[in-house]
Amino acid sequence: MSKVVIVGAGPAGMSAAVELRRLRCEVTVIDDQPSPGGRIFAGIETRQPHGREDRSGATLARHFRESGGTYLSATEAWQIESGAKVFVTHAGQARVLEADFVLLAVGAQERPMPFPGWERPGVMTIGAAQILLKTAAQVPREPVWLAGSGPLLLLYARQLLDAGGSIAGLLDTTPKGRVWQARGKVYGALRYGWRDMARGLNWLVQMRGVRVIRHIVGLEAVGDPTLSSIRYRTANGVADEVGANLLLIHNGVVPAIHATLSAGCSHRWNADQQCLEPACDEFGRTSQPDLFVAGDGAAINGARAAFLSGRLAALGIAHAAGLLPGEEVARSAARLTRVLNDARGFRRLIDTLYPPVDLDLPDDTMVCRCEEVTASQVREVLSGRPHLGADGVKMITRAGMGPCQGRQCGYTIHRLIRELHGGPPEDAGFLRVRPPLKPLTLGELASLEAQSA
Amino acid sequence: MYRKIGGEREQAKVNVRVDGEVHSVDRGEPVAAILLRLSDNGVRRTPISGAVRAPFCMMGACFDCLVEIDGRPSTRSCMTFAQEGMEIRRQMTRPNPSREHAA
Repeated sequence: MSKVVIVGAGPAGMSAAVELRRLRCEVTVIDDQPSPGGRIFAGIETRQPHGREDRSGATLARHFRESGGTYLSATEAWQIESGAKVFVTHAGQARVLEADFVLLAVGAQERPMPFPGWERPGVMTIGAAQILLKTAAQVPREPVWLAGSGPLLLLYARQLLDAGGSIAGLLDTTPKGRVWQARGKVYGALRYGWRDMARGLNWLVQMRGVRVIRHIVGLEAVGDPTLSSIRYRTANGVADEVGANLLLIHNGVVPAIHATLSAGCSHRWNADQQCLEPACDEFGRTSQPDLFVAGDGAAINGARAAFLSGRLAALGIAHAAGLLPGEEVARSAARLTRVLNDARGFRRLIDTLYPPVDLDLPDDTMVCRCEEVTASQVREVLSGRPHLGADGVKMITRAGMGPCQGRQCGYTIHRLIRELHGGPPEDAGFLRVRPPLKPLTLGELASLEAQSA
Repeated sequence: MYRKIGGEREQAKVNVRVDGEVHSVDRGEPVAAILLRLSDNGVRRTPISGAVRAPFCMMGACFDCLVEIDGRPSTRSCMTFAQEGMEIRRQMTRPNPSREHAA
């Protein structure tokens, strides 16, 4: 029987697990949360589902629980090796899971959105606020300022209003002319996304009463130490300051690539989404033949597409394991691939409407929050050193060397390399990622030795 | 900065201590959520400049929500879930590894 370890119990990981169990594989799913669902369906087993998508998440979580695999909750993976091994910790104990195949369904993280003061207490991400709503049923105490753009921002705004919260205003970073640019992509988006588009328009209507300041190009979080006001600047040169004790920011999401980077998988630059993603075939098989990827960790296409890409990865793994003949895989994959292509068409519309935005990055902006390295420090070491890459910046300044391992500064260093040295983004390089992917105590490491002795 | 919304579900309660003070909270909610309800003034100081920080990403990726939980310093409060008797301390001074060693 083929052994498969799946990292992540969101829509992609759960779908793959259900499918692989159906194909009689031995499946172990590990996930860092106490219950299945991933971020999108956080707490889905205990909270009231809101809407169609939530209900499908609740159903999937139930099928996943009934699928008969091993599910290790509150467990973090800190090393993934082709071979294939997944090193995990749970409650202070480390262990190694060995498998024939590993599926990384680790999802997305929010794209860092640096501006002066973004590290202050009182500035959080929209995703963080949404997790607080889903897992702790809490909302900002006072009318809250939102800054950024993208579907998650609109979704949270709607959820916040529904939950009885209120919005002080939206500092919209969407550049000018995006709706006009997106017009050619509407048709290609309709088949998959008409329902989401209708929903999005409905949110915009509900947001009509909210104060919106458009075309923001610069932000500053002011306060000592806690946020007391927000300074902003628009593309039209309007500059002003508003009082605030909480600012929620969002600049889209990017695949969480630390696991695939550290496992030595090849990555490619996605020009539409301005991010790296693991290079893989239609089944999510990476350049390491026993490592597969699915869901937003493979490419940002949203939760509904993650249901499908999880199943596709399961088919690919079953085929690679010799459990399914090629014709059967091709037949089953055809429909999934067609719908996924429609999902990509919808995504192209979203990416055009809400592109990632580079706000002004003045010298005093904190690039690396962990090691407290500013933009001026990074610019200084890059200037006059055309061959210095991200790892050189890390060595000299310590940016990217802290506990978050560059999750919050990797793309900013990438941006500064392009700013100082020019050249295409795919040549700018990225921080080298090394295990442990999550912090590990010596005691936990030692517990690994004790087991194998 | 945050408040609970009313209704929807009745949650089982547990008692936790935050800097020595007992609070009744929802069992299983992220510790960071509790800290964000209790105070606006951050949860830790950075070891480098001593700047104050608070939870930022709530998904284990940013490491800004580090506090001491049940004697273990620099634990992500967003990835730790409230249990009866949990002992939580904000890290408003530099983490001191020798204290953990002595314990």
